[in-house]
Amino acid sequence: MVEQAVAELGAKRVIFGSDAHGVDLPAALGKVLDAEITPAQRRQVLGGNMADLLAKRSGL
Amino acid sequence: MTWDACTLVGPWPFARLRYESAADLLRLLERAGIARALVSPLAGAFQQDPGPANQELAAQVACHRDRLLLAAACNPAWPGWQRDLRQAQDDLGAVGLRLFPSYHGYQLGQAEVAALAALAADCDLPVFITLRLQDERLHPPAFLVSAVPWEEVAALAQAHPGTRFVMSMGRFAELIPALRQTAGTGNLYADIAGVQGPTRCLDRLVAEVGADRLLFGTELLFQYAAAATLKVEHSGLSPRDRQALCMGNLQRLLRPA
Repeated sequence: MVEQAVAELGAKRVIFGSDAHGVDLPAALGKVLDAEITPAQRRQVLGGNMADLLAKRSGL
Repeated sequence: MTWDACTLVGPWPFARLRYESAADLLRLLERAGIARALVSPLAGAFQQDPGPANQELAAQVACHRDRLLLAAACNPAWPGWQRDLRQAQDDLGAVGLRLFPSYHGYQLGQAEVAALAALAADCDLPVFITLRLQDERLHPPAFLVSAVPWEEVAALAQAHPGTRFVMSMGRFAELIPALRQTAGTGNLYADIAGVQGPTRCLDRLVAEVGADRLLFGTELLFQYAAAATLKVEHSGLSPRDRQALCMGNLQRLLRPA
């Protein structure tokens, strides 16, 4: 499913979200860590994209 | 060492899965560090007569019996299921049975299920009851399937104390009452394949119902293995409870004293 999201939307528009505390954080993280995407795409999904968004918003 | 109590192989009718074969499963188990797995045919949920799906999967796993153990799909609402059950054990090497009650359209209170429970006890085969295959919110609009109520599973286990049952793909809120209600008979187990939360769900499950009737499960090839393995790695379970959950309980279930 993560692979499909990255393929359809592009890795720049997919952002990790855990749904904690409703979902156990390791279970949510495991989906991205196990997904067959490139290391660069994984970095984008797990934090890079969110950091970019926040930087644009706050000018950080 | 880890044994997986819940894996399924084969095509999913509503979407192309990334992986579908027993060879794929073996590779993903290897990558996840899982030594053995109980595997059932996904097609067995969709075909009224799951016999051919069992045969096809048995042929795929025949060369890998040290890694893959067959839990044959069984439909007690289909004529001839008793013969199929015997054949699955005798000819295909099945070590367990997997039921898909919602997909085959029967309730666990029906007479056929009582007969299956009795025969499974005679054959010394544990019965895995699939509560759901996927989150109800994700079903295709034309194919909405309700989850099996945990109350039916608990009642079935209580009515057949000589049969070993596993509630498969239940959620946190379903496992706790079901395992509590059957504490007296002790013959109901549950896999954790469907337990995604809440935070620290495994620690909370063990605190509520103990570790001795919980089984590690991934729901490969449907889900990501790491979603299950990381739950265990990051839990605060004691070494004893971790061993029981990851292997000891399933080993005991498959090879009772």
